[in-house]
Amino acid sequence: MKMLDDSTINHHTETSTQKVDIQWVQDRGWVILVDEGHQRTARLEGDDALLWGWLNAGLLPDKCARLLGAVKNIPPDKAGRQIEECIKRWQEAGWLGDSRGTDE
Amino acid sequence: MKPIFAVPIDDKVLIHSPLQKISALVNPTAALMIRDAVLFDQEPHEKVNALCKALNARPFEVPQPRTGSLQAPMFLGLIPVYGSMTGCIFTDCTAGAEAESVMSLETARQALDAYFELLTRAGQPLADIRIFGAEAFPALDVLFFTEAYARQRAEQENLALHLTLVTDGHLPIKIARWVGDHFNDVTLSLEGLQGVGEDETFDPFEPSISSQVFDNACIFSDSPGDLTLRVCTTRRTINHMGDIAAWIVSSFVPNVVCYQSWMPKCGSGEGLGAVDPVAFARAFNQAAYELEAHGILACHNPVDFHTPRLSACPVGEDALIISPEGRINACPLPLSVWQSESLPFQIGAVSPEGFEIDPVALNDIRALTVLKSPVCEDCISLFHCAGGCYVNNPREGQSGRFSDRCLQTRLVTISNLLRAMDQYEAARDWLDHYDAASHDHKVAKDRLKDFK
Repeated sequence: MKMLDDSTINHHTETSTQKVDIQWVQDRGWVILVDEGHQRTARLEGDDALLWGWLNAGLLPDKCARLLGAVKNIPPDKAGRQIEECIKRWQEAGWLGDSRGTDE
Repeated sequence: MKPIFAVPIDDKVLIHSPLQKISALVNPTAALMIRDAVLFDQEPHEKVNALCKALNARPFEVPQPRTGSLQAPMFLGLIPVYGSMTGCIFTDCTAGAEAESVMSLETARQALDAYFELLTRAGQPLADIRIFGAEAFPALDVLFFTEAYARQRAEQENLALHLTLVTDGHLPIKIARWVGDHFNDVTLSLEGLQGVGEDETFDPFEPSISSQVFDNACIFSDSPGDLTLRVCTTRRTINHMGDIAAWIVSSFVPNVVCYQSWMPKCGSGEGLGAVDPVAFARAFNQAAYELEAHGILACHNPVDFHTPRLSACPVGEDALIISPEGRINACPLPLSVWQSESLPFQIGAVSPEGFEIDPVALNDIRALTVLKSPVCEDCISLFHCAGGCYVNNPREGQSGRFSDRCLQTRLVTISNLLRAMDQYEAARDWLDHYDAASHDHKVAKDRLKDFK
């Protein structure tokens, strides 16, 4: 497990609707979000950290739903709802803009 | 007879006992005294007494072939799809029709479930999972799935997890960043370096690898995991190995740089051509010296002079390498490649019930050790190259009658041993005037007992 100090600092400037320049530290099991403008941080764990990693790797929500369904052994539509809720939560909290992912 | 070797190095003799991890550079008279004292029970001369004492006292740690039921696989390998964008044999090319098939998430899940069950049952502490390839889009799903599912299973079973990706580097940059954040090790082939012209100067600003591979190498280099770079050496690039090493040092921070040499099986296109074994050994010695000065380990497959072994690769070490269709193989190369050499590397298959292992096949593969290879019997590299690749390095023939590939491996082994004793110059000078044509290294018996 890498230490925070060793981690790659990522800049989130993905979407045109992004209001803030969010940075994050991605570790293998968790993610720390840093919003310097508003002097706040958040720690993502579990499925949230997993999804943050996938979305920032460029996967579209549909692909994430299929993968999450396979990992958790749940139907893709249920996984899809979980992802929608997650994205909505992050958007409302200002961590995300209103569209994500490019599925490169 | 004790496996102790003696090889003349100009006016000196390299004494090497791989199983005791003892090496020394002595003069020929001393070598004879050591031979008589250690092998023929004569009283050692006082000048060689300390070395003889060590050679007599330190135990020989003989590697043993695996036996019994499958309990501690070397690793679980997943091949989401055969074939690489570069068509390189070292990144799993030559798959032909096999390249059509892509691993399903269900096959990946079954393999991971079976692997974790096996580890838990056997009380193993670490899950070591290696993914070979996965750059092609359908196969990327397996990459993301495996990382997440393996992490979940490791957490459930309270096991440590080590993830490795072997890649040709043709990944979208965002995915490369994700890999850098989530994998412990990346092995990246710097394909394209062989495109440098024979008479051209190597240009570190245009190193002839794609910008995508270069950018991704930088990402992996900056990531917290370990990075191994693989460099293919051809007749055209042999003179650039030192420059390429300097470029690597200035561009990346790898842990290991692994040099492989082009071989006829890679195809005859582009006029690349096989490498002269002595030229390769010279260039490798120089490149390794450059890299080692920066704390980077230089290696040449199949030589590993740190740990004595009976097999140069996962074959015989109970590695479970899952093909896209769910076959369990001992070798990461495609079935068609090793079947064409009549090598029986299929161990079983993955099913919803778990691993279906054929115990006879497993034991047959375990028995394919270098100790069964007559040509290797008296070679100083016996426990370091361990016979090399089963597919690319035939083992028939009499003891000490070496192919060009063997000669190359032997010279690299010897120069590695000399550099490990801070004898870079001795290795360089010896290789500089080494004449393969007149030398006896293609027909040699390196055992100390045969030293005269």
